[in-house]
Amino acid sequence: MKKMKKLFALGLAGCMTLAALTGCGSKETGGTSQGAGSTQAQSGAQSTDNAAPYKIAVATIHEGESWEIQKAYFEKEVGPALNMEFMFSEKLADANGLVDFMEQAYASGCVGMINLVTSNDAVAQGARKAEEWGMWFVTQNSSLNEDVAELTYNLGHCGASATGMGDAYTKAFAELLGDGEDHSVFVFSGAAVGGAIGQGAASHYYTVQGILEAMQDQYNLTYEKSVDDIINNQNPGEVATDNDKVKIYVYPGVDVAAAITAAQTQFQTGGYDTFAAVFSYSAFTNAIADVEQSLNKNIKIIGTASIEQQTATGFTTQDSQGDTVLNAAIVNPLNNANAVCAVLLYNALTGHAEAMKDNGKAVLFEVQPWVCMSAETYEGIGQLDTSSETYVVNAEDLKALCVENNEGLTFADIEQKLTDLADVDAVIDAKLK
Amino acid sequence: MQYSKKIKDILFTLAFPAVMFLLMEMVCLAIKDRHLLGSMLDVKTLVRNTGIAAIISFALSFNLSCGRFDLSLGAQRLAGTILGGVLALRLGLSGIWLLLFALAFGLLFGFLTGVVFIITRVPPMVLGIGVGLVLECIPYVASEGKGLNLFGRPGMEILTNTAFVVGLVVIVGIFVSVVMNMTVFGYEMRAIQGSQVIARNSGINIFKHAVLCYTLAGGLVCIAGVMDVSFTTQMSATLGLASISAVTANMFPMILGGYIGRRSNQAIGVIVAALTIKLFSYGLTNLELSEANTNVANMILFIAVLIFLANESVFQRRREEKERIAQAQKKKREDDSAIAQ
Repeated sequence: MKKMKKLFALGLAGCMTLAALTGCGSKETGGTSQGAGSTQAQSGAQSTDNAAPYKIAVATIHEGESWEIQKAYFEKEVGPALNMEFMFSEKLADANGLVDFMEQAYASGCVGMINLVTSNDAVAQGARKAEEWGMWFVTQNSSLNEDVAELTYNLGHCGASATGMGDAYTKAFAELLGDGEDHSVFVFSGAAVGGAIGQGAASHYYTVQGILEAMQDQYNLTYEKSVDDIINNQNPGEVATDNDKVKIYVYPGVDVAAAITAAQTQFQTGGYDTFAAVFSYSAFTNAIADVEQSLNKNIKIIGTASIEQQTATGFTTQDSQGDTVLNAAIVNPLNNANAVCAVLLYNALTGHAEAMKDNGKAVLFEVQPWVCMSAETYEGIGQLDTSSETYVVNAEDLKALCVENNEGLTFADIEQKLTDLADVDAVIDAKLK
Repeated sequence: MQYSKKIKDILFTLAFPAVMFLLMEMVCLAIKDRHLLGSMLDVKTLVRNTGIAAIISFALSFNLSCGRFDLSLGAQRLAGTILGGVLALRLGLSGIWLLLFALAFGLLFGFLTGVVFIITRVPPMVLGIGVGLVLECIPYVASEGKGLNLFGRPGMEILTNTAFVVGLVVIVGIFVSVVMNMTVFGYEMRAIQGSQVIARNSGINIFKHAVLCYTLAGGLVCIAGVMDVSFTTQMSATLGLASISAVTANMFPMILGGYIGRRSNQAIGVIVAALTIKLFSYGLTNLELSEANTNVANMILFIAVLIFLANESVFQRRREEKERIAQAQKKKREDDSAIAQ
């Protein structure tokens, strides 16, 4: 019995180790990429040369459908185009997780790191570790960490333009509320608190700022406090305005379950008819549908969304009031930041790091979000980033952004490319028509 | 006499949610000038949240009351719910089937965990970590990392129907109550709670009982998982034991339910405790506290209950101690006087 027990204990320990390392195998051999795992990019006809591929680590904070689409982009489009192979982390939460993963990545020969862990300390610790090891380091974030911006191996940040998010929401709100009637909005502001100073999420901060400013412009509101003070208030509550007919409620925090209860309570008062969420809007839809049925009142939903089936469903499903469940979405292009990060690493690895910096300092590359106000527009967006033909930045575009193929190219050209991609109609025209 | 005791027990049980409701109602009216529950929709949400919390607490209590803390319970919930959901969606079946599939997977995963436990006899918490890590990978692979998304899926409306939710909670409550109080399993559980060694020596198969506990717990958490995901529309396929938080968050109703259930039974106790705590949470939401302050308030209440439970017999013990000392002193005086004579 004792021997049996030992054998099972050993087996169990083996299982635990396997679980921790699940996904170490390549996708081609049937493994999936959870845990620290590497995926050999197929170096075929599209490969730039026959040299050994550059091994790049990707430290992620994501999981789910949209992350799987992004991983496929790295593996199927970026890898062959830039002669790279990728090693993905499991979902990381903090600086410790990032540094642990970097150690594994460095030990397994990675020469570059794409970091998606956005907290200030994670970026700073990661960049310093990368500097120590001589590993090129680039972060996907909406704001630049100035503390490490001048390190040699830090190639900068690329992420959803925080101010672009604000502008997109301003535009969407103006259109959504432009029917001449008074509208009141419940805003789930997520991690907006401190977002402007690197403590929360910058994109959440500027999103709420965009909403508040749009409401201000639309209804000539005068807030009792500054917009910054309103966003940075950790307590949920109604924003004091000078207009009784237009109400704004801001709910900060990342506890979605608590936010759902709060939203339902507020909507049930009958005082609000618009819901805006900086993330997870779909989690609120059942609660809002209950209120719509209970009050026989239409509530409009606007949220930050990804290119995935869920967004299409939101635009095409009708609620009890005959309106679509999702009325407007601010869509973050899925792979534009991934493309820029990979290009930055490639240029650095081929000896052109200085061209990717602004006088030796890391640059913040901003990806502009797309405003989607209808199912028709989303139909086009939904077809993007699904294959080599529809990738917004495909292999050809990636190669065109390499200094090796385009002498004299600098960071400013990459910034221009991102600006060009801000026009969603133009992108749809170019890729789908 | 017995009739009077029953009335007292019922009043004791109902006092918890009643006092909490009145307290939070007064606080909400005084501070925010609003009622704790403003509409039937609030009541509906309260029922759903109470149901989810109670069912997870039941699941926790099966093992925890016998001295086993199953850390894989969250992973069982995740795996069962996502696998059940993915299977039902792929087959184009309705929400009822999703619930049944999730329940079947939950029972299976719970059973397997129990079997591994009795074969290996690895301490339950250590085993729970290992099994949890393995189980979390299964829904990740099955759903290709996407988890379960019911947003806009036709046929799932039944799962958010109030009558269905209430009916489900009542059925689960009755089931747990019957299992705990009217079956050999429940009798054996009380014996094991007293002493595992004595229970084993008296002929109870504690290993078979453990497997049954794990199996039932797995099934219950998956029912709660389905209730949760049907409302919030999505469940991510998390890794690294992140799934455990959904279960451990319900330790409070389980512990408070154990105390309240002394005057009725554990099933009623847990439901009443879950309702009491959800009323408290609802009150905090109405008070518009920040997330951090809400957590602090919840934890203070939890710790206060734990302190009370740890010290509830302290006055009785002191009184008995005083009596013993007085008796000893009296005896000593008698002995002294006998020696002196």
